[in-house]
Amino acid sequence: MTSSYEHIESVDSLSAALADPEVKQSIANLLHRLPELEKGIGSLEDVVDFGQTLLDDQPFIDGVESKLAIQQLDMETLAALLALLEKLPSLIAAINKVEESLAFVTAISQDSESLDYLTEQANAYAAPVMEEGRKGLTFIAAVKNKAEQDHQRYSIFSIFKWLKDPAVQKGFRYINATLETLNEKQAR
Amino acid sequence: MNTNNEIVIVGGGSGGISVASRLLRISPELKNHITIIDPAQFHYYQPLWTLVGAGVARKESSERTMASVIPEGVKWLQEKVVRFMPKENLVKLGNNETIPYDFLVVAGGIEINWDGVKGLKETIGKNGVCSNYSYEHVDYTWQLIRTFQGGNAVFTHPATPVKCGGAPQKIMYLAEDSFNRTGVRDKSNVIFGSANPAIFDVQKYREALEKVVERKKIDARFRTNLIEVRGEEKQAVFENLDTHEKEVVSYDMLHVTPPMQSPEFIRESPLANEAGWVDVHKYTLQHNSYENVFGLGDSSGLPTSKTGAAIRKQAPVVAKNLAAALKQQPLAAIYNGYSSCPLVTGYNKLILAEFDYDKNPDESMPFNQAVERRSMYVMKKDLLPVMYWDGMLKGTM
Repeated sequence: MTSSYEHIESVDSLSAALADPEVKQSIANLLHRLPELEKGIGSLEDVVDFGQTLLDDQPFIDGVESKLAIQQLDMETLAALLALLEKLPSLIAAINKVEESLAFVTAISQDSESLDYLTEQANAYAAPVMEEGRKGLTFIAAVKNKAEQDHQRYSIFSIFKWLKDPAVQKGFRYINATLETLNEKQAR
Repeated sequence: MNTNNEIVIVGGGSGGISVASRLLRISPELKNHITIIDPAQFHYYQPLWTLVGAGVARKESSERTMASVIPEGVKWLQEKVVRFMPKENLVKLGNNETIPYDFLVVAGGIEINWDGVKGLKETIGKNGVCSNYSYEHVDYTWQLIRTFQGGNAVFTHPATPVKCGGAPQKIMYLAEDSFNRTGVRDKSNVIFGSANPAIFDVQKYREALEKVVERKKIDARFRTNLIEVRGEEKQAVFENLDTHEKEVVSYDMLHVTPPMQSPEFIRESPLANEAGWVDVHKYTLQHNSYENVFGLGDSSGLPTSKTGAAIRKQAPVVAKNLAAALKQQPLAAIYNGYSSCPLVTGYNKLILAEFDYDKNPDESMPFNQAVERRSMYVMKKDLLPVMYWDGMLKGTM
């Protein structure tokens, strides 16, 4: 009795649902799309079949396994991983510093105004040194020029004459002073 | 993080640009969600002006267009802010537009009050009156120093907070050095009229600088404040801050450090403390009343010297704490009041003062920084400008 009552009730609710225009429209749409859905289900079956074939292909499975196998995964590796995890905060801090330094260097290299400024400052320091160097080169060139144009023959008397030159005398005085100082040190 | 959050930064100076760059480095997803509001056309590296006034740097090296320093991915509104409405999370612009924000950073800088000294505005740039605190007139400082023939060279420090508190005396030391080089030192009196009670706040550097003042035979007069400049008569009027007595000093050259104040749109706003500066927590730099507001730089009410070096340390704190606030995490970054002053004491000499809130030295170098060093001078002159443009403003230094 109860069962037939429930049956009638469910038929009624189904009839009521089918009477709903929206449900009617949905069923109509579904029926229209059945061929398309069937094709989709067919494609899905193909994918499943392909997967099943791959799983049955033992040489392929062995190849994938060997590629993914982590041969060195032992307790030592795990301990190292944990140690690395512990060090990560300080490593990240260091990496950030390196990253910032690189960003700074990159920013300078792309900043023509800063590059000009640095070049200008460097030139200001280099200029006096270059000037001294230029003076030295001029002196050497003048000496070389005079020496090449000098065809005079020098004798022992010429050397005696040089000895009287103030520059040579000054040099001798330094040599003498150095020797005296060395002797005094040794005497102590 | 909610990337729909909009961050507005008021001020495109050292603080504003640095914070924007750092925020983007910390949270790249904030790209195109940060807006800098600043009406200026140019951005200046002002620490160089001391050396420009001393004839060893070109002022053009201190100037770049604002557009060139705005970080990529940050929007720039070239307008002035006239009003803060923190309860509504709005800022009002000079063109009457209102800009909403989720988080606000105030880095509005400090305002020079040229009217704060009677007669100054009318005579600055002529009659022997110069100031390194003006891009326009900084060349005139060098003109006066290099053509100085002797007499009274007067340098001042006002009775207000100033940006870079060491600058008023740096140019004095350089001028004195120049007078020696040009052979007029014997005919010159170098006078320092300062409203401060001593040559420097931090004892370690004060002792070193007192020796410099003594060696250079500088007539240092403390607790005295410039109140009037009579350009035509070449007279400077000082007031003793304790006795209120006035003293008229004749000058042949007068370098003025003008009085400074918090910008009006800040000091008249709900964000300001009683003194008119942005009321931020001294360690977290978060506003004391509005949680979504942060502040840094010269416009903040932090009890430390207003220097670019201080901003260099404040910017990462603001950026980290703002990023934390965006994620609703606790604010972990702390600013310890660090400030620094590269005190140029002559051509090729510099004392690098670095200190914290408690006026304790907080030095970066492994040697005694109270000693005058050439290496530190080279660093200031040749390296710091590049570190500023390519490091600090890019958020890496």
